Amino acid sequence: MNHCPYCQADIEGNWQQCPLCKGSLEKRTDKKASDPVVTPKY
Amino acid sequence: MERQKWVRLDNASNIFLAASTNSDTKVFRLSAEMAHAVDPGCLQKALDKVYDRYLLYHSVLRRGVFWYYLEMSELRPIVEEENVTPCTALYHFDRKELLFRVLYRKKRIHLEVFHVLSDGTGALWFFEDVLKEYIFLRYPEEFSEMPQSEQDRMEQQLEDSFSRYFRQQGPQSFTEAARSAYRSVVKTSKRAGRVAIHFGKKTSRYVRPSLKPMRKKKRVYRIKGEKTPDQRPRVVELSLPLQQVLPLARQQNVSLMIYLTALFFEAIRKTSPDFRPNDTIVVSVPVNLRQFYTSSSARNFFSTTYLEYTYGQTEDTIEAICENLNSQLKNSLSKEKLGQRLNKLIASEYNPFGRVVLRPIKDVILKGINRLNNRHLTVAISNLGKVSFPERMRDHIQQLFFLSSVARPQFCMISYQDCLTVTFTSPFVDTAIQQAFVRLLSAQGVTVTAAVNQVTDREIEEGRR
Repeated sequence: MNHCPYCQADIEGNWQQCPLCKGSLEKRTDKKASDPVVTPKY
Repeated sequence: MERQKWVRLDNASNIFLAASTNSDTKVFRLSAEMAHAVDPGCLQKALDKVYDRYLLYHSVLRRGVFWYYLEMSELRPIVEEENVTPCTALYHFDRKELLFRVLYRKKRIHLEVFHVLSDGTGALWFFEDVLKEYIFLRYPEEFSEMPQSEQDRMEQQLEDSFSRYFRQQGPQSFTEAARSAYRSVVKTSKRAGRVAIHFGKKTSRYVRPSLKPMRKKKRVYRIKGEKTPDQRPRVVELSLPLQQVLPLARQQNVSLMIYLTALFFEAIRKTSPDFRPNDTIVVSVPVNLRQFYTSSSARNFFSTTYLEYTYGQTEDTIEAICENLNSQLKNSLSKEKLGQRLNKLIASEYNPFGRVVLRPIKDVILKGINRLNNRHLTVAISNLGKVSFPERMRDHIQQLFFLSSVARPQFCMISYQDCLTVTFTSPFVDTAIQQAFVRLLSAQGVTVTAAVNQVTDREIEEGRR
């Protein structure tokens, strides 16, 4: 799980940059980051 | 004597056929994220069991000279691993296939339904039963070791959606299950003699274009953009803590749906460079008629209401937009207005024109009506409300999702336990509106988690790395 500081939102999935604002993402280091995430495969 | 195995498709559902396109397939999806990876074997068994009880879901759609009809089939559904884009078309005129599919991937179970078959509420009954049956089969030890008192309570809670809604009438035949909900309401009300529903000539006065004439004078804003390369919808799933969002709506004295719609309007205004100061945003909102009229039908039983807000008339605050939209919704849900809308739907169902005109001609007319309607519409929303499961099952279901194929940006909302899921779908690549919506929420202190699908070649390539 990554975090977008501009959108102030956690971003799931394998994104190099924020899919909403195209800004840089911060790696989350809290507990949530280690949770297995189901990224929507669409 | 062999019982009839087909039912003429109701006129209200015909519009979905006329309006469906490659990008807007009129398919919607309900999903559940389970606590553990999905066991496909258990899911298949659960589906088989529930499928036997829901005869409506045995339908295939056929074309006749004068009308479409639902025919009972001997096909059996098979659960599949998700490997297609969401809401891929379910109906192909040259194939005999079921009008729904059940998919799974990792921890998620999806039910996709062609809107001709059922609406969101009807599909939710089926989906709830599949999930309950799946949990029973997947974790039998949890339920066999329960004390008797708890088992009894559980049984009470587990009275499945099917029996809850259909038990009063006893087992249904295919034709009863597949009959138009509007016809069922007329039948029930005539028998009971307590609900005054007028149809036929009396309702002809309601059969007129649904759009208000005054709307012509306004410039209804329409969102344009670059479409996704392979027509898959752009999906933005937002998970929001209910306890954080609900107080924000309460502050405005409106429902969650109205509050989020107001934010949607603001997000559109802020991010659309060609938005003019006096433009009007119009949203279509489906209203579940089962809340107001007794109906045991799982077929489509809703009416669409339109809410609009014209900018530049007053101070365009969230508060003002909420108040305006709320008063429109309240007005449209008045007994009189609801009655008018239901009568209109019933009149269309009994309209002889619908029976005698050749189907291809009706298709062209309905396509034209749909195109006209779309010209006066900016966005759409749909709300399935709060879903609950018996206590013992809650730990096995983590989150619920609801989304729909679209012709224009739309959001669908559903909540479960403390999680509200708002899923935006859009035919466009751009995510500026969704981003502005997120910003409006996060600025209010709401913890937003977003999951976005990859739609462009570049995004898909990056996702593979």
